[in-house]
Amino acid sequence: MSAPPLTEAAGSVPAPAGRSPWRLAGGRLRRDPAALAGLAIIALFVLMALAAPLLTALNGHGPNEFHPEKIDKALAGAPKGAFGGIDGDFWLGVEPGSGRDVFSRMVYGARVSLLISVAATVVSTAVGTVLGLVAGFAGGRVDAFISRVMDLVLSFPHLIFMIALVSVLPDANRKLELVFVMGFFGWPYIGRIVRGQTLSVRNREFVEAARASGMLRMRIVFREVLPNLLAPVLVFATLTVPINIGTEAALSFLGIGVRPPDSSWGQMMAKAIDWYQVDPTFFVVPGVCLLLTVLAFTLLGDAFRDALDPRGGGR
Amino acid sequence: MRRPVRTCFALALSLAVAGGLSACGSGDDAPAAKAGGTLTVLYTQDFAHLDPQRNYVMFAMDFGTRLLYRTLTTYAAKPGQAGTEVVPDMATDTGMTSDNGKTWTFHLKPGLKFEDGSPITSADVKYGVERSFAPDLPEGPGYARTMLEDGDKYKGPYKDKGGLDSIETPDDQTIVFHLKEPSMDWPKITTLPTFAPVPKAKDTGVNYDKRPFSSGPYKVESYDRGQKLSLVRNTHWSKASDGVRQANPDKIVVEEGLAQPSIDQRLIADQGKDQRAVTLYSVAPASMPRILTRPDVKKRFVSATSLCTRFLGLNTTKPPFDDPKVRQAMQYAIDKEAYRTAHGGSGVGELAGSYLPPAMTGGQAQDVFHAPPTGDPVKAKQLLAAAGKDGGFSIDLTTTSTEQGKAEAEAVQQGLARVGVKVRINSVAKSVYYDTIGDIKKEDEMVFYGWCADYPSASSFIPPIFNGRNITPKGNTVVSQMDDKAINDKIEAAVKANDPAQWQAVDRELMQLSPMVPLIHDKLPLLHGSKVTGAFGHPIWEGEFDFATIGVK
Repeated sequence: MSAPPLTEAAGSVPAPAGRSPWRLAGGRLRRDPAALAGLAIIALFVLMALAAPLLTALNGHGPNEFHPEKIDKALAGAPKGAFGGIDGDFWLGVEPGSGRDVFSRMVYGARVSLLISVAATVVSTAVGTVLGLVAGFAGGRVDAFISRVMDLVLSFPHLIFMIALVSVLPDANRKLELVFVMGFFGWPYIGRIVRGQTLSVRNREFVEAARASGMLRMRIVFREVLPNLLAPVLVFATLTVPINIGTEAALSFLGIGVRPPDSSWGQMMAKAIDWYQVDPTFFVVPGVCLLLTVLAFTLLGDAFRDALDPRGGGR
Repeated sequence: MRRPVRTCFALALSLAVAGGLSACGSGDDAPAAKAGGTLTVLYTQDFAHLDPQRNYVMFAMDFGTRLLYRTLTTYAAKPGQAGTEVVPDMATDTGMTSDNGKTWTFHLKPGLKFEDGSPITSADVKYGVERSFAPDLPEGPGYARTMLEDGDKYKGPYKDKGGLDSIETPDDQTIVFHLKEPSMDWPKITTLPTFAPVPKAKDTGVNYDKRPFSSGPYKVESYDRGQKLSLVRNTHWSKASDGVRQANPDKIVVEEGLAQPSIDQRLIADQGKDQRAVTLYSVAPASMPRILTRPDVKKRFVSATSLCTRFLGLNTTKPPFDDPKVRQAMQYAIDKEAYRTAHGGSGVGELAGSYLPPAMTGGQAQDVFHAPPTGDPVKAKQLLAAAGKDGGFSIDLTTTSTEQGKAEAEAVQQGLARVGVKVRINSVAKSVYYDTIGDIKKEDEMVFYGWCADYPSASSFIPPIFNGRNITPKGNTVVSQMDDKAINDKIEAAVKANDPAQWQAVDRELMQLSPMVPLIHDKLPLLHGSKVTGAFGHPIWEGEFDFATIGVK
């Protein structure tokens, strides 16, 4: 039996020198089709949201303009024409009851849905990371206190509390309220992860070294510990965005979302549910937008996790 | 009286009739009604009250007085104008007066019985009316309290064992009412469930709601509030003593707590027991296309003109609506057509050009400003400019937090945006809607409102919502809060004269003051299954199905 021939490649593996973990992860992401697809979809929707005024200038219909000529007033405003009134002028049809352009409302709705969910994610991530770091690093009573608060917030039935909170808050700026309410209920999830990671990092040699060299505690936390937590925080934040998009849609659906006449995808779905048998197109549009966005963020979050932690089961 | 019914502001009580019933279908399936079978009634929530003295929501008054309790007089079980005729019920006639309406005497028919077989006496009727004075049971209509002599001093039978002296019962079959002021409307008022008999021994106070003791053709078999109400025949009721109720089904089951779109879907599908089902209240706007575009379903659609009008109330205590010119501008600025489309389309009401439902003034609809259906923004802007408001302004509008409530508010919003008025929509839960707008300190600049007359007379339509002397700090019905002595006096004079032409003049004058913008005169859109008979919208009860004639085959 002859020994298997050595492959050429075995001898010529490039030296794995000089690349930071972030650059490695970036390389892995670029080769991951799921990540690229997710990024592309997100980029598309973000562009659409940013360019909403330009896009509606193209079709000439503001998001709140009524078009009574496009609906049948004898039939409670059911759209005239097939597929919810789709034609060359109204690319995705019109809203039943008012004749508002669905495309225009969809692109303006993207602004609300993305803005609220990303902002709420930023709030929950920032609060969760800071409190998780403090709890994990300080330990003792501080840790016990923060951990119990996290348990308390986690034990609330979120949706019900959000509904209650949004209903009792003075009706000032609904979007801002939604961001803070969603952020408030989201922070303990990330807080717990950060706390756990901090606990495992804080006794590592480089932290000991920093401590021994007399570095201030604050500096240790933010310069030595935090950078080691960025990977899990980034992954978790990316996966939180689709959850928040879903929550915003649910709250709008339950009637406590953005104030009319502003549109959001959840608000469109809520209206569409009454009409789905008469005008399924109206239901499909926000539904597909929500589906694609949630899918894109989920794909991207998974890809981040795989890229930043190749030991995980992802590949 | 108004009460949040399904969507918005449907008020509650009865109205008078309006021009003919717009019989959308159902006219042809009026073959001889047959007794027997089970009728299923589908509804979104529980009845607010079935206690006769607390029942003050239109369709529930229809349901109660046609099925569970009898009153001294009632309305003929006929569609259209004929349904507004007052006919005797427990009484042998519609009341006798010898002094131009100050004293009214009724005689009970012989042989009337409660569900346990005990006789109904004039004392039971008197006791029922007295219950409506009890502070514990405040929800019912206020006519007995305000019109009977010494009614303002009496505190109800629980506190005041002596009874109310202005109701006399010389014998078991005779009852005499002494009024403060003469009123020829009294026989219409005795159609209200306030005048249903309650046996003192069966009175359970606030709990009577759960188990009203029947004097009508059906009695409560079981009542699981919010879930299901079952009615079975009251074997002691006799058709011979009742010229109005046909009592066709053997059993009536109300299924509560359903979503209106799923009720509509069940009735459109028309399968199994749903063939013998009706919706208790109006179908959802989004169901209208599915009903009206299918001839087989459309045949089962009913929408009768009622005596209700829906309005936008303008709060005259706050700028900018403290200025009558600005209020008049609103009459031109509002897009009523867009509102009606959001409310359910042209089948659910006629656009209103003045406040009074046309049937109250002999079928004559008035249009005071002749604004086109979608409004006249140019004219509105001129009026605003004349009032020094050409820069526009911002107001708050209260609506219900339902999809329909928001859609209606958006329709108003876009109409006003055309004249530079910015509307901020304030949506509140349906269950607290009337408490919110009825609090005069908290009321927004603009609110959705509606009113149905309690009996077919402008006297039960104009005064409760326009006479500034009826403003109350909470539970206010004069939502404009306009308290103009001159017009209050004219309203009170019209009540005394009770002349349709005079009411029309008051209506026109009110329009010039514009405390509210009339939107539509209602038609309640209803649907029934294919095996339901005798289903028509009764003009008195908001156009609701008349439960006196309904049956199944």
